[in-house]
Amino acid sequence: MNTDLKAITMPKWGLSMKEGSILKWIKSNGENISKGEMILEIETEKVVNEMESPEDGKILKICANEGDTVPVGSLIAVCGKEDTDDKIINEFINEFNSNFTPDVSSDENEEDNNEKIKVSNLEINFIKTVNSKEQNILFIHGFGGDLNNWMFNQSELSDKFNTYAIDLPGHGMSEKNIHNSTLDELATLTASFCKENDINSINLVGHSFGAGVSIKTASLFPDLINSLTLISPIGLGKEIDSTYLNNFINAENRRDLKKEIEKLYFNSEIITREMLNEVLKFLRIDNVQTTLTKIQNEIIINGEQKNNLIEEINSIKIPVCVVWGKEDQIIPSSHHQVLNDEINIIIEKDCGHMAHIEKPSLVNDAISSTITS
Amino acid sequence: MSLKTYREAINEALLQEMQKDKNVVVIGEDVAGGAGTNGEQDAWGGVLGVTKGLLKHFGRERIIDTPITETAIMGMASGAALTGLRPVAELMFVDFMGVCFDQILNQTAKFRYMFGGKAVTPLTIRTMYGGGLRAASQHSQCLYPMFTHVPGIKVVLPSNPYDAKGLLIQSIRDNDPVIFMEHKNLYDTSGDVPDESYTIPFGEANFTREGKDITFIAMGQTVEICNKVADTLKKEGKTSTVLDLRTLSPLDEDSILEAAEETGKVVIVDESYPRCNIATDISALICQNSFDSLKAGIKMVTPPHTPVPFSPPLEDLYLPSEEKVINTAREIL
Amino acid sequence: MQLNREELLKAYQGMCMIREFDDAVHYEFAADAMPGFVHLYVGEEASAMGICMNLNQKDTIASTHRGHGHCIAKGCDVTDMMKELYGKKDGICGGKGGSMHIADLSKGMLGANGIVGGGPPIVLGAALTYKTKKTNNVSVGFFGDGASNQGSISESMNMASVLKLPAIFVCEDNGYAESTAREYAVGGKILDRGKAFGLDSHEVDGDNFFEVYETAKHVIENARNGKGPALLHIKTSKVYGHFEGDAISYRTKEENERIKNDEDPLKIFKMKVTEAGLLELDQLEKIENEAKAKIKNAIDESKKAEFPTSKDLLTDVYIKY
Repeated sequence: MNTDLKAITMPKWGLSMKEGSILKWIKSNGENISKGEMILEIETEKVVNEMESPEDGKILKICANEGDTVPVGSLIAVCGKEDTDDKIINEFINEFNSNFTPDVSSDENEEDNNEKIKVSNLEINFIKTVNSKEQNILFIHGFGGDLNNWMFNQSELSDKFNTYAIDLPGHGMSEKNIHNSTLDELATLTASFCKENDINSINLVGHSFGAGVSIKTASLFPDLINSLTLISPIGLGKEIDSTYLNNFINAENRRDLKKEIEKLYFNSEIITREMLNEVLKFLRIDNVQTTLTKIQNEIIINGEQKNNLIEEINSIKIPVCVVWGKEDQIIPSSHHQVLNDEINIIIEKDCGHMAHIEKPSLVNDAISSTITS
Repeated sequence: MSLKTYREAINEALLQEMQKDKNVVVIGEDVAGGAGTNGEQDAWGGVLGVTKGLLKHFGRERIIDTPITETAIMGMASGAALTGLRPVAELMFVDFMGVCFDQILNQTAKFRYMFGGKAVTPLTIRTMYGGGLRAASQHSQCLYPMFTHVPGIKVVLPSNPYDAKGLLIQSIRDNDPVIFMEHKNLYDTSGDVPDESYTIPFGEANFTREGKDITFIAMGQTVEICNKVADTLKKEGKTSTVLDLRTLSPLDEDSILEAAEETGKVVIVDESYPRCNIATDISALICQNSFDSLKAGIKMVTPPHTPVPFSPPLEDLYLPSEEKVINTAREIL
Repeated sequence: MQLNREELLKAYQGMCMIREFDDAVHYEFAADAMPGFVHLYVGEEASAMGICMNLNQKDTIASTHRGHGHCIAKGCDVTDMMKELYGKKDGICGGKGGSMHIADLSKGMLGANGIVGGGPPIVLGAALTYKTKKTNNVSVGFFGDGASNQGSISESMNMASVLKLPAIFVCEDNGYAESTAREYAVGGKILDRGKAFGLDSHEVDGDNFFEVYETAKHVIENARNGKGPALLHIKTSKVYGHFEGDAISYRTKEENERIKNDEDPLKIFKMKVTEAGLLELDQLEKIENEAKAKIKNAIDESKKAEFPTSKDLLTDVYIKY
């Protein structure tokens, strides 16, 4: 196989994704592309999003056209360093395709990947990919999110690590009716979750409130935690958009909710009605609003952040990386200034509160290098 | 979350609401079945098995089999709602409204208004509607426009299992009279349904597809027809918006106009008789409010103005189908 | 006689109030001072009071288009009722209902009804509520000889019998369904219809308050004790026509005179209680005068009251829409 040529394939966004449709090519044949640059729009059952280029180079041949729906992993374009003879490109394509078999496991059981486990007397839903890798990752989403928030990260990193993503209590498919939701309690729950899964050492990746849970877990259970990658963490300053949480909990319809969800992203065009519907479905489950209000009260008091984790994060002895969207409207990225020099800080421009969704390859690289540093 | 049929979703909604609120009772013909016989109790669980199994949880005190007496059923349910119960009454086939409409039209629907806003009538009427089962003219009608026409009742048409459960729980918890209409052809369709109780508010239409070239507006069973048409058109490079109305009263006018304006080309698919139906009503709404954004005349796919035929080929010709919808769409694409 | 002095006074107060209310409406309507249709209960007062004196405030009744008497007997405020008849904003239904839809749920009055035979099916529901919640209450559905031919009545009696509901069906038979005679329109006997469905069925002289009261007491107590539904066929007569403006040409002069003079339940009551020495004539006259004054005042207040405005046009349809 010609090693100068690289395959660009249909990504796997979320563990249940089987195929994707090409909505639009942003780049065309012959155009130069650089790693991280958006090259096309893809629609899956769950999401419409732009795909970042995995390579630097030039698009030599687009193999899947707008409107095509192809399995995960299939070749959608060939890129290379320089113009290449058509014959060589075609040989590359033929060779790729003859080696490629799409994942044909039944898509009837979309939820099969979800597992439930009883931790701290609560039923916790999670998804894991365990392939006897050396290192384990546990993803912890933020307030109002769920494990699907890691759809651009978990499957991507599952090649190198064993990965776990949980739904926090009151979220996703975990138990909704909860009594306790302090950071201490959730840190204990996180540690118990690892114990139940026979994990002795784990790398936590936490977002926002989930980052707060991660810091607390590392502080209370230092022997368990190997590294922390934190995205827009709580606890590093007083400022937070407290109206966001309140309006999110009480959003009655798609239009109300959209105004809030837009605050999460730098590029709010990424928000589809389907995404909003998924959130509304969650909010409309019995007890969810009450539970979220309890959690909100653990995050905010009198319009300011309730938790101060500065001392705890600065005294942690393991590798810590903090990724923050420069345009984060929920928790200002300026909070990073309280962090000590040991901590690797990445402030990304053109990015809001959801770096793991808006800038997945940046975040995935940060996670990998934090774990291996 | 698990895969459940439309039938199971409805059954689960009833089960969970009856467990939650002891004032919820189910009233109807053969809702358990076998009453007074020496044979199986819960013999039917509703004529198509939707209420099967509730009897063993709640007994005949709360799963109330009645004689075949629709006026008395609807009256009893209305009166019970007015005095403190939260009944779910079953009108086996919506066609039977002919023998009990007074209790719905003149009594329940008007209590609150006539009594100066003092009445609270948390009544849910569940009923089956729609064609496709070769059930002929008296067991296949839609008739939802007739209920939609009447102020004081709410009209709900779930198109899938998720909506069926959430909208039924909302109907039961709602303090106004609601007619909850189940398309017979949908009972065996399945989809992901949360195991927990949840609600879907009334008056919120649901976008099941988003696109740029054409808009389909649908309700009940026609939603899935439009979804399939949208998927076919997508393979041809045309993207569609599909709007599921979910409730006809209240009607989500904002989403209808949003959907119409999104593409400027509108096809409304309605299984009810064509005169004064939902398609005509929505068409007028769009013309009044979004005329300037239309790029073509509004199209409607409905049955002809005839009773529902019995003979299978005739019924197939009568009902809206994917083929009819796609051909209509192509006229304006 | 089981009624004490206080109860007898109450019975007469109620009957007088009904009489004065509907007599006053008769004159107001004739003077073109009142909108809509009204159907008057004059001559049937013993039925409403005889039944309702056996009910408590949590028991319920559903009435007919000729409903003023039932409303008053069940405790609805006469001034609020009168304001409703004039279509005023602070009428008992905010001016949204009028004569045929007077209701006060707080008093257990589930509504007069513009549909002939509309009430008894609703009574089934109230009775089901009591049975389900085990409250020992009863619900009473009034209907006329005309309604007795509606399917809703037969269906209701059957359902009540099948489910053994605490429901009482009261057929107030005044001999005429609009302008058509009972003898023409009713096949067989109304009483037999109740019996056919297994109801404890009784025929009652509706001009005699005491007979109504005693029979109602018996069937209502049974219903409270779980013994199931009953039918009372109350033979009565109305002084005025089907509705106000009805010339009553279908009745003879003699019949009209007989109804007024010989079949007046108030006169009969007055005679019985004074002859038996239970009440004094001047006490009864005092009650009559008080009722007159109360109704006169209700009319004066109603005429002065405000009409609803455009702000009221869209309200009271749904709780949330």
